[in-house]
Amino acid sequence: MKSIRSYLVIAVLSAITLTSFVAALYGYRTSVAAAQTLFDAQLSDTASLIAALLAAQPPQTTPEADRGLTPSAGQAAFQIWTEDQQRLILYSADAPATAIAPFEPGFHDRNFNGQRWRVLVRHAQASDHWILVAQRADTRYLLADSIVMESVLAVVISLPVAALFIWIIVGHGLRLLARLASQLRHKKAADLSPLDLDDPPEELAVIVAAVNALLNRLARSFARERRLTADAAHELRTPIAALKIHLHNLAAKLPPGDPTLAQLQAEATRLEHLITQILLLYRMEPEHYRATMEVLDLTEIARQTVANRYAEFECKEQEIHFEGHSQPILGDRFAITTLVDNLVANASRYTPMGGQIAVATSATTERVILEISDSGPGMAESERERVFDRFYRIGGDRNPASGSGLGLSIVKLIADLHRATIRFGASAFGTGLSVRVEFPLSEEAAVATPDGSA
Amino acid sequence: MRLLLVEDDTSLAAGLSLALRNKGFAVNHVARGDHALLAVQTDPPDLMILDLGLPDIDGLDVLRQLRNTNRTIPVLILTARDTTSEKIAGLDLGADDYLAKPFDIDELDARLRAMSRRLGSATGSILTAGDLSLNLATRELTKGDQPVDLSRREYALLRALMENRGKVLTREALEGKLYAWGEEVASNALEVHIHHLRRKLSADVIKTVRGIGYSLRLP
Repeated sequence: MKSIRSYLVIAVLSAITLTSFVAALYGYRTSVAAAQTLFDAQLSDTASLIAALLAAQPPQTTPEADRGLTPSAGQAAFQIWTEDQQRLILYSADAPATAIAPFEPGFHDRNFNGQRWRVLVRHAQASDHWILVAQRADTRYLLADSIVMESVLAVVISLPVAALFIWIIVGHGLRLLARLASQLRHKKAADLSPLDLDDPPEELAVIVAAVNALLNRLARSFARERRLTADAAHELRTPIAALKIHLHNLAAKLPPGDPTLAQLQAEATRLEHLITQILLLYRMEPEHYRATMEVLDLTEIARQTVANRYAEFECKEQEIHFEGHSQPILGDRFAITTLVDNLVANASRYTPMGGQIAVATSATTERVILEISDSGPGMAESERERVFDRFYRIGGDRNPASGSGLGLSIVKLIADLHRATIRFGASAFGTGLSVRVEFPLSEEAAVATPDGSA
Repeated sequence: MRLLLVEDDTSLAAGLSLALRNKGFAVNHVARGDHALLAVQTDPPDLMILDLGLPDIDGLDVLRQLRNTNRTIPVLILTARDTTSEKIAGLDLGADDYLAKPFDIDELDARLRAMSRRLGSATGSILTAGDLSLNLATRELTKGDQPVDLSRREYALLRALMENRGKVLTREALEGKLYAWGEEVASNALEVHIHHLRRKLSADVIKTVRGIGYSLRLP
């Protein structure tokens, strides 16, 4: 079934047509019967009239002389026979010379003159004559035909109008279904909130209730899954803390630069990073995070973040360029710090030893921009869409530089929280990636520092 | 420096006790909140590390009860929870610092030393870096054996740099130290004071991190 609407329109039209024709057929039969009665009565009257005339003035003429009695439309005929049924006394021009029906009183259907006739045979007691009156049978059918044709024609003519009405009415009746469909179509993948349909008809109420129950079950199971992840990550914090302490204590007993210890420490750091990122991702999800929006200086936060990570840049002999004046934005301090930190850490991670990293803040008339560029290998166009996927790592698992694969997912969550957009481009270092985060210029932030500087 | 470690995770407590002993603390370890309160009553420590997730009493309740009886012991909260509201609750109840697990032992050590300096004890009040020695009680600086005169603002900047040795302090953070004196500071004041400090110590002691801030670099 392609469309409920088309199906209903066609089905209802077919039903109307079928019942109309059944009704017409029945009407035809009734009309024919009615015409039969009516015309029979007419024949009977004609016979009575002839009988009365014969009684008043018996014919004395020969049959040959009587041919002058000619009715003419050819719709009716009559014969008057003598009592002994041997002699035809009087007859109409249409009538043949033989008896048009057997001499038995009553109605007969007979053929003569190439037509079907209805014949009434009557024995007139008063004048001792047989009176045979006939009328063309098709007359009565023609009447019934015209009555039925008119009623059927009305139905046929009104069908397109009915179709239009049904189309509109069915469409109107299905509009809630259309609204429901539209709600489902526009639902975002992560949106598990129940459907909202005002006063749904009972047929749809069942569907809405079933879909909402399903959504609710899904939401609960997603929440349970996420909580499990967060709880698991949480439970791992103490063992990782213990692991790090024991490694620290072990380092004091081993000669400096022991390669196994260095690898153990690197693994512990990786584990710690992964757990931290999982927890951050969980915390930053819109349903958990309650942002405290305040006026912040994006430049100050970026500078502090770079300062905190400075040891890592030095360790990789990376040159860092920082540029920017005070740029007030409306944001959540923890979230913005996390966003900048993830981007700066990524830049350092994917930029080789001795590379360059630039962090800059600026503003246009509409936006405050944070741009972080590096001289690393950059990012292929095809990867730009996938980097926000959780656990996606550029270069795959074998890339020794890879992090948790969650950093940009977290960045995206925070950017969405602040209605900021993220754009990737080529960096000014020739090779490498430039990440631009554009925050909407907030009036509140602009008012706090009217001249744009703190 | 006597330190009470309140931590219910046996492995972490053992490792932490050893690490802190290696750093020169005398560590006493308990695993329960009621034991911690008892230990404070019978033998008050100089510092306390308090884990929030204890088996008997919630760490924040331990802190609350501790502050009702003893207001002075500096407390560093250690926890696997890291939500901002809990951090604020802990600090509101009188904790002096807060560190989320997993932590860096050097970071913990630095925080503990900063806390102990606030106690004003003789050993805790001297900051050293290379041949520099800054007495926080008397505000006297010696370079090698030579005393060096410092202005109040130079002292504030040098103390911040020495307390965060090896780290980069941003312009904003350092300017905050100058503003703490409650006076208007000219836009180039920071550069001027850094310039003076370099002249008094040596040019390469304070490294400029262009666009970011300054850092104390000593062998």
